[in-house]
Amino acid sequence: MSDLKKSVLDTIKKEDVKPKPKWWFVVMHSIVWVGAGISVIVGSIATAVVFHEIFETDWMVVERLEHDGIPGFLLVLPYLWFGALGITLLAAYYLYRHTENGYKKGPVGILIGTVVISVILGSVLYERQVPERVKDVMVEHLPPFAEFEMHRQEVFMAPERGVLVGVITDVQGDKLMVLNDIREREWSVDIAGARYGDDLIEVDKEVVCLGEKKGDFGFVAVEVRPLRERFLKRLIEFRKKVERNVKPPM
Amino acid sequence: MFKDHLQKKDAELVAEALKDADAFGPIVERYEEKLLRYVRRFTGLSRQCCEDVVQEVFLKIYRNLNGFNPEMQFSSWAYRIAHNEAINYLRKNKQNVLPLETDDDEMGDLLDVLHADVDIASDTSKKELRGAVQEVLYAMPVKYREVLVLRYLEDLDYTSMGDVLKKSVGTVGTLLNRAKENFKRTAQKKNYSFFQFSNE
Repeated sequence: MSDLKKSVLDTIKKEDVKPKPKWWFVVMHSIVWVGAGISVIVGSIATAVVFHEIFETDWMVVERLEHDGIPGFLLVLPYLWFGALGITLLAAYYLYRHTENGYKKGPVGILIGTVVISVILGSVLYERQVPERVKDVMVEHLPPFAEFEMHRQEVFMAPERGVLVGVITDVQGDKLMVLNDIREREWSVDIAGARYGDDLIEVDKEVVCLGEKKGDFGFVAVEVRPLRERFLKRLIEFRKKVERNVKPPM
Repeated sequence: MFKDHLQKKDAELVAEALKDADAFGPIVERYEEKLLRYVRRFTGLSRQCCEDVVQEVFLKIYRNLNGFNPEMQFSSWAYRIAHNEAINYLRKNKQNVLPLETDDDEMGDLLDVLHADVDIASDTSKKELRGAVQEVLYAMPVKYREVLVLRYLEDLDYTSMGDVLKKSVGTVGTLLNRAKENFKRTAQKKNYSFFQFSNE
């Protein structure tokens, strides 16, 4: 018997070394798989919210919302969700790599696979309006998220920069209309010299007015354009939920 | 029917060792020289240090016998544990490995397999060559040294190397190419005139 063999067997006996039980490995492998699965699901939810933010935003308005030289689209991109998506993709990749045979796939293959699954699942979740529910829950339970979302929506309130978005609540001939903005403040908008399409200036229509602010809540429009259907109402509903969950400033 | 342990497959020995610790002996016997040689080539440690490392390797193998995946070759699994243990040992001891004089003939053989890239002057003695290869090898980063050792000294195929290093076959191929390049650059830096490198 070689010295090494003798030494190994003696140590096993002397220190009463025992093989770890089978169930221990089953549990460890299951934890890794469950972790990878959760990461993919969270990544898919993040993908769905990214889709929601991209497809439900009125980019015609956004392109006019430049602020301090920063283009509007840079102000409203869902960075938080891009970040969440990136982190979950990396977590899913890392965990999958640590499954029993995960190392056999190349890193590019794993990342592409994870992205494809997230996009497919994310599309399904987006279609089922999961992003709205997720954001509602987060607004309700995560005040910093609610605050973050509120700041993001401030971008759409820019009368000082010549952009006013709102829902028409009253029309007085072809000279004046009243609209409520995202905070449901009432604005008098002079449309006497404005360009607009047929059937646009009607109560309950969502519009974006381009022009100049006059006084506290007055606005002279040079152009009135339609907004995406229900874009503003959705923002208003969401804002109400957010405001309920954000502490008023001292 | 009684079957001598030499004829038994690794998986059978593993099953027996799970029932009786003494049955782990044949596994140690079968792999001790291979693993000692591998750890020595990979780390350049003294025989005594290598034995300490390999003893710990066998204890880890024994503790984790139930985690052995029969879809993989037992030897790859054993090499993987040895590889990890050797890396841990080097990290813990934080020592710059100073290779000992070796009579490892296969060190010289490494150049035979690298022959497509490196020509060797015919008048170079085997001993000289062995020492040079060893010096170049231990001057290389561990990630490159390990693939050269596994491929050319331990003679593992890409799949087994992937199992040992927990990397995909594609990654192993890429690493191996980079390791060969690194070997050439390191040899050039060390001014080994009997390695005649083609201009690239």
